[in-house]
Amino acid sequence: MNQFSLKHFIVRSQALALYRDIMRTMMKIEDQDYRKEIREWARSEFHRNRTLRDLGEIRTQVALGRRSLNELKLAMRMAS
Amino acid sequence: MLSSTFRLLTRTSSFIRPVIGSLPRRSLFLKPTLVSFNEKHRQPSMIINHIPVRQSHVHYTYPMIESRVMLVLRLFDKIDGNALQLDSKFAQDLGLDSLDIVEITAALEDEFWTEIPDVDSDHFVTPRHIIQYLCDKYDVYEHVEPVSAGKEYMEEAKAAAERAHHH
Repeated sequence: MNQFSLKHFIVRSQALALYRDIMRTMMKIEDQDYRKEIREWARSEFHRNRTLRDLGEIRTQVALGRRSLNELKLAMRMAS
Repeated sequence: MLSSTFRLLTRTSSFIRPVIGSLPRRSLFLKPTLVSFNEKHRQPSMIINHIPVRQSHVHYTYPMIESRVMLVLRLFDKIDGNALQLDSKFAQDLGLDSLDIVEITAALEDEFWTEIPDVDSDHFVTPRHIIQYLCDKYDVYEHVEPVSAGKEYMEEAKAAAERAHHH
């Protein structure tokens, strides 16, 4: 029996949606160095946590990522 | 990251800044859109997330879509340009995972000024699928072999008539 439940699938799609929002926000940045920095930061964070299996931990990480993304959007708004 | 933006704010005299102008080295400014807007007419409370409008004179053809998609894929640093073919699978041949597919989808959205939802990007297995999806989105069908409805209809009708005749 596969150890991944429906909740795992839902949480996985939430994590992918977060990554997609980060990438879409990143595309709006003109500065190529800063774009690379954001991409490397997002990739390293997601790859570091890719072997997590506990639902609570995954949800916590996704929430932390959301908060970081909101900070990034706020920083972009303030700078533009 | 926030501290540098605070320093930026205290340096400038007002919150209204020109998009293209003299800016500090590591500033963030929004990409110029296809809509040309005059700076004089901009309101102080401008909409930061300006919705871009696609110009209607851009004519989409199959070679154009194919070359743009392959360019976007080649520019992606995790894809080997030599191994990239129209039918090379992302997961098996090119060794990409779901995060990379999401990133490629975001780059394609940026290139084609459109939105590609998650449900559609899940079905991208080869570059050919992406090109076909975009052709469907923009109603490009010049690469599809036309089906002659007349010829096949006549054969169908003939066969049906034969069957009806023999019964």
